[in-house]
Amino acid sequence: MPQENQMIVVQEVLPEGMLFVRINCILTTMVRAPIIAACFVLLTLCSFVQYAVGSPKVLDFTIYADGTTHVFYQTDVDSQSPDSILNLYGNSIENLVVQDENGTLLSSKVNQSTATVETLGSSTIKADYDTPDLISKNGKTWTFHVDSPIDYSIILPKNSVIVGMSVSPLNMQIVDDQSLISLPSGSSEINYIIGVLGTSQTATLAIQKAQDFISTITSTGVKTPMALTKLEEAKLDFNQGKYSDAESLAGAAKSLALQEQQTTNSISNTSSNNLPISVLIVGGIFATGAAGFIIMKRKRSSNPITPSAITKNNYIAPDKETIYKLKPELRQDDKDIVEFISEKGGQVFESELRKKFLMPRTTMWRAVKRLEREDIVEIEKVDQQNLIKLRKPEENET
Amino acid sequence: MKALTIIFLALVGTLVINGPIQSYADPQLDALLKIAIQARENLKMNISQINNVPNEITRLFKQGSDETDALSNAIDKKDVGSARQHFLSAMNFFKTINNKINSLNATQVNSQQQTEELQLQSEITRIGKIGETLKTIAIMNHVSFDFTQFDQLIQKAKQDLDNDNVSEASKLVEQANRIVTDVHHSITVVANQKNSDRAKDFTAKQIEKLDKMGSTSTQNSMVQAPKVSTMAKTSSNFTSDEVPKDMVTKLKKLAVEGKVDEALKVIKSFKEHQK
Repeated sequence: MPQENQMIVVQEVLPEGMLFVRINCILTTMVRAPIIAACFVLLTLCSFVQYAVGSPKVLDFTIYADGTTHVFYQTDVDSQSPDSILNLYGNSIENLVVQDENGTLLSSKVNQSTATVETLGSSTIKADYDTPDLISKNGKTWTFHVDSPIDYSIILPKNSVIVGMSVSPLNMQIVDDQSLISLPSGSSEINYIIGVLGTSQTATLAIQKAQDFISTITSTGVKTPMALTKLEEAKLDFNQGKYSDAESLAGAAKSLALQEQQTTNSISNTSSNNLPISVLIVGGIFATGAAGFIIMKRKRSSNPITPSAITKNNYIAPDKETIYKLKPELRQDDKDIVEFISEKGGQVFESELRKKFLMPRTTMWRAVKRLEREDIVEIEKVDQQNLIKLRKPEENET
Repeated sequence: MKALTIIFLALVGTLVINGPIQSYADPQLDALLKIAIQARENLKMNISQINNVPNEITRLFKQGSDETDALSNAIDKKDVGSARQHFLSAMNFFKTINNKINSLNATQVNSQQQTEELQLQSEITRIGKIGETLKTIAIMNHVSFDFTQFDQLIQKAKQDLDNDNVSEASKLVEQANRIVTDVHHSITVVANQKNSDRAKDFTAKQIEKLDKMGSTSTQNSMVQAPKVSTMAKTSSNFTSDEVPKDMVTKLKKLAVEGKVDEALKVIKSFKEHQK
C-alpha cells in the first residue's frame, strides 16, 4: 500500500476543542465496506442455520432407581398435517401425555414403539412418558442403552456412579446431587451402580458392618480398643457429612478389629494348654444349649405358609421352554421371572419374587400383570397374598 | 486489494465451515476426568472388599488406572482427541472389571431392605413428579381433579419411608399410582373430547386455505397459456400440486355433514401426495 495513502493529517486543535482527522484512504475503505458487510451477513446467516438445525428438538431421559426411565421429547411438527407419528423409546409405555406448544392436550394412540398424535394445527409437540425398557440390570450394575437420532441428556439417579460408558459425553454437571450428562446422537450405553462409595447409605453400611464385626469379636472375649477408637472416628466423620472418609475409617476399624483378634488368638493359643477342664466343659454345655435353642427357634419360625405347602389340585407345572417357544418376544427380565417360578415348582408368592429380584412392590406387580396379560401366569389370592402360577401351555394357546 | 479481499473471504469461509464442527468437537474435558476418576475410586473400594482379588482384576484395574492418568495428562495438554481415546479406553477397562466383580458376587453390600427403600424412595419421587405434571396439565386444560388425596398419600409415604415402615410406604405408593392412572385416564378422555372441536377448526382452516390456493392457481392458469388440466377428479388420486376444485367441494360437504374424520383423511391424503 502506498505510503501517502496511509498518511494521516492531524490539523490544529480548533477553539471548540474538536480534533480534525483526515484519512486519505477513505475512498478505498468505502469500496471495501460492502464486502465486509456481506461477510458479516454470511456469518450471521451461518449461525441462524446452526440454530435452526440444532434447536427444535429436545430429548431428555430421567432415570430412576427402580429402573424406570422418564422420557421427555419435544419436536417441531408440520402444522398443516392433521397428525404426526412420534417414535417412542421402548415398547412398554406408561403415562403418555402429549401437549402442544400452548400446553393443550393432544389425543394420541400408541402402537408398540410409535404413537400417532393428532396435532391438528400444532407446530410443536411435547411428549412425556415412562418406560422400563431402556434399563437392564446385571448383578449390582444397571445399564442404560439408547440409540438416539439427536443429541440428548440423561439424569442419573441419586447416589449413582458411572462404571462404564461407550461414548464421550459432551458435558456433565451435578444438579441436585444427580449427574446430568449431555451425550451425542447415536447408540450409547452407560453402566452405573446405585448406592456406592462416598454416599450416606454406603457409609452407614460400612459402619454397621464394622460395628457388627467388632461386637462379634468382643462377645468372644477379645478386646478391640483400637478398632473401637477408629469406629468412633468413622461415626464422627459421618455426623459431619464426610461420608467417604467415614466409609474408609469404618473399613479400617474392621481391619483393626481383625488384627486385634488375631493377636489375641495367638496369645491365647500359647496359654490354651493351661485352661482348666471345668471351663471347657461349661463352655461346651453352653454352646450345645445355644445351638439347641437356635434350632428350636428356626423350626418355630418355619411355620408360615409356602406355595409348595399349598395343595396342588392336579396342578402340573408347565415347562418354561414351552413358554419361551410360544412367547419368543418375551423380555429377558420376564424370562427370568418365568424361570424362577418354574424352578419353584410353577407357583410362587409375589413377595418371593420381590425378594429374589429385589424389586419394589409396584414394579414387580407391573411385571406380574404384564405376564398375566400375556397369559403366561395367573394370579390367585391365597391367605391375603398373591400367588403367581404359571399357566399351562394349552391354556396359553386358548 | 484483490488479494486482501480473497484472504478475508477465505477467513470468513473457514469460520463458516469450521464453526459448527469446533462447537461440537470441544467437549468439557473436565467432565471426562471426573467420570473416570469416580469410576476408578468406586472400583478401588469394591476391590478392597474382595478377600482374594483375582490377578486379572488387579491387572485390568492397573490398566484402567493408567488410562485415567493418561487422560489427565491429555487434558493438561488440551489434546481433545487423545483425551477422548483414553477416556473410552479407561471406561472400557472399568466396565470389564465391574462385570468380573459382579460375576464374583463378592461385594453385595446392599441389604434387601436398603435396596427396597432406595427403590421405593425413587418411585415416590417419580410418581410425585408425574402427579405434578398432571396437575399442571389439568389446570391448563381446565380439568377439575382433586389432588388432595394424592398429595397426602405421597407425603405419608415419604414419612413412612423415613420411619423405616417400608411395607406401609409401598402400599401408599400403590394407591398413589392408582390415582395417577385415574387422572391420566380422565385427561385422556378430555383430550379426546377437545379433539373433535379442534378437528372441526382445523378442517375449516384447511378448507379455507385450499380454497384460496385453488382460486390462485386457476387465476394463474387463466393469465398464462391455457393448459390441459392434469388434476384428478377424485380427492384421493392427485396427479398435480394444484388443488383439485372437486376436493375442496367434497371437503366442504363433509364438513357440513359433520364427517370431520373423513375430511381429515382427505386432507391427510392430499398432504402426503404433496410430499
